Amino acid sequence: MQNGDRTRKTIAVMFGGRSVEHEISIITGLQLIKAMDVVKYNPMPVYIAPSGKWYAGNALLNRDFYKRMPASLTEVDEVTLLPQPDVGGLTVLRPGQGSDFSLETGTDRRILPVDVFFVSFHGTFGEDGCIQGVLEMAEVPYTGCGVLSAAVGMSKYHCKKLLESHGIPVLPGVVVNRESIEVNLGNNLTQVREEIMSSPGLEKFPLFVKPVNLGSSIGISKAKDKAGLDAALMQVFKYDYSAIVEPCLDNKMEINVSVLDDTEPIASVLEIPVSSTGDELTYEDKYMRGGGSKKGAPQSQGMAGLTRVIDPQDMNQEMKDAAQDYARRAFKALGCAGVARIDFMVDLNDNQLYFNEINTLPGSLAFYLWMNSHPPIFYTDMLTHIIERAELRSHRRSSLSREIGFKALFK
Amino acid sequence: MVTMTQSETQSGVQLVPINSVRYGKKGDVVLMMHGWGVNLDSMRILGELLGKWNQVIIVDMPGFGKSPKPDADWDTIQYAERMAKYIDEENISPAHIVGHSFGGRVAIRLASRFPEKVKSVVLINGAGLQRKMTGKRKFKSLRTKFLSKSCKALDSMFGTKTYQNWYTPRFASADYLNAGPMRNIMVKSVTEDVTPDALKVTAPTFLLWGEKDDETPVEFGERFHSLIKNSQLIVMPGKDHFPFMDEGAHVCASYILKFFRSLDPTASNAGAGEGVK
Repeated sequence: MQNGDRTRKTIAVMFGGRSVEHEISIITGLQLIKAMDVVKYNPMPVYIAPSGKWYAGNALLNRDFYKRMPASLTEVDEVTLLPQPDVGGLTVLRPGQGSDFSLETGTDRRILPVDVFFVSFHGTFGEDGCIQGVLEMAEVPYTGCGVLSAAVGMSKYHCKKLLESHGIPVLPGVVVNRESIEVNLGNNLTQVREEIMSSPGLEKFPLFVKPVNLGSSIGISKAKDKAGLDAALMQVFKYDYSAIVEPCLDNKMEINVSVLDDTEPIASVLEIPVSSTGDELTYEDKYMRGGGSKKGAPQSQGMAGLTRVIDPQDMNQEMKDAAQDYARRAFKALGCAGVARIDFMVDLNDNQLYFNEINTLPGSLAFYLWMNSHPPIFYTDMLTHIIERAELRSHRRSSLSREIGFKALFK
Repeated sequence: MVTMTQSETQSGVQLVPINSVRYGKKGDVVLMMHGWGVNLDSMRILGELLGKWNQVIIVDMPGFGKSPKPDADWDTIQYAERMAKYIDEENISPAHIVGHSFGGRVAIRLASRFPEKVKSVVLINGAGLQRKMTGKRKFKSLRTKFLSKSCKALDSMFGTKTYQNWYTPRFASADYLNAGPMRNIMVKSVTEDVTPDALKVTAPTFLLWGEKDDETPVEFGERFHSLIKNSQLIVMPGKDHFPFMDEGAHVCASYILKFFRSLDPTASNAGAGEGVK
């Protein structure tokens, strides 16, 4: 670890986290460290283990480290971020073997200095405003969305409602909470089902059942009949407290666009993700193809490894423009920062475009779209831009007045 | 028995067919040459990225990948002569030359001997210099040489095979052991020193170096920087002998494009590597 290196800014790249997308986040984190401008920045890997404990150390750069867990965790420093301003970095709780740190050498030696925190989690606690809250409390520069935009972006339902009010077309949907089927199971499930199917736009099967707060296609199922809907609801509540039920277009196409934070946000080229089954994309489609387990096969590349058509040449320009325009508007309406991927659904029967969901921390940060955009932006330059935007926001935030002194208390 | 399957140039270098892969349709031509023991595949990601702004050709060097081995045991001057001929065949003169490791040796030879065909040179962890001997290294080297000579002497006196069976597996490098029919070419190339050629290079030269490299250490980059008049050096901390592997290619591509752009601010490269503005 180059602790003495203060000519480069130290970027704490945070990944892992308490989320079903834990390992996808590791891939995203390690990828972006490889792509980071190391002449300018000193990337410091910071890993939140499934236990919720934080670790820092260069041993985290090897994929092998994660195979050797939990034994390997003793090789790195256990750290934390104190939720108070002016600490100057991560606090070492327990030094790893061979660490530069020793708890006896005094308090000032227990800080790993950090200039900017690069958030590269997916899903719960990392993409939903939780970690952003900790970073706000600590008053440190961090990349990507703030608390509110991360939280709203994570909820498929709230996101939909907010964007609908901004004139962006969305498919109808109803939310079902786990409590509503928990008590006296049989009766309530029928009642819930009837409520769902009496909502406008949801009268006929098939229907989609999705967790409200998850990505990566985890917990999603398609219900073809009443029994299927019951089963889908039981399945979805393994992963989330609330589910959203949406109509399933019978003849549709998915389109994704990425948006990058700037004074005026910019949109990438489009992609059409291609499913191996000709059906909805599964977790395996997204992350397992290109064969992680086969010997000699390349490592899983996360979202960058998905089969897809990037910048489809035969799609009509009107559709492309509309998707990019809606994507930029959604990004702004939600107050997003960093880079996001916005997923749309096209009803091929009438060529109508619908907002489907936003990923405020997309897998592989959607770099594969930017390197193919017009003009192309390399991952390295994109990361530098995201870091610089984080510093700018932090600078603006720190100029806000937080104190007005004691007035009321001593009146 | 010598059957010449390919014609020869006037200087006599055999016109070994060159296998290549191309990326990009517009902008300057960039000719990329890989390192020892690998082939053009090692540079594909970097080539694809540079191809967003340039016409990139990555070649299999003769004897690697799908380019056949030359009949004779070439030195890097002959490699450079073949590549100079290739530039003419493809009508791509002058081209930007990107060379990694062994490809860097050839790039220096090419740039010093055929300056009119070379627009600029990019060395990524380039080889071609001899290591400076520290006391410890000197001792090790002398010991290895002594053992090598002793084994050879023993073998010639008693008809034994100690050199092959005892010395080689212990002291030879992995590249040497894996070189197969390319072994003589390899021995020639590693014992060469391109210093006199480097002094003659006039083309703008960009030295891009992964810092964690024992094969072609940063010290080589620094020495090339002092040998080549019109050169700049960028050291990448934490990157190794293959800094352009996987997503590392984006870092290298970003810096290489900034270099190309600095040569000709009005060309199509303008704006490359700038990121978002």
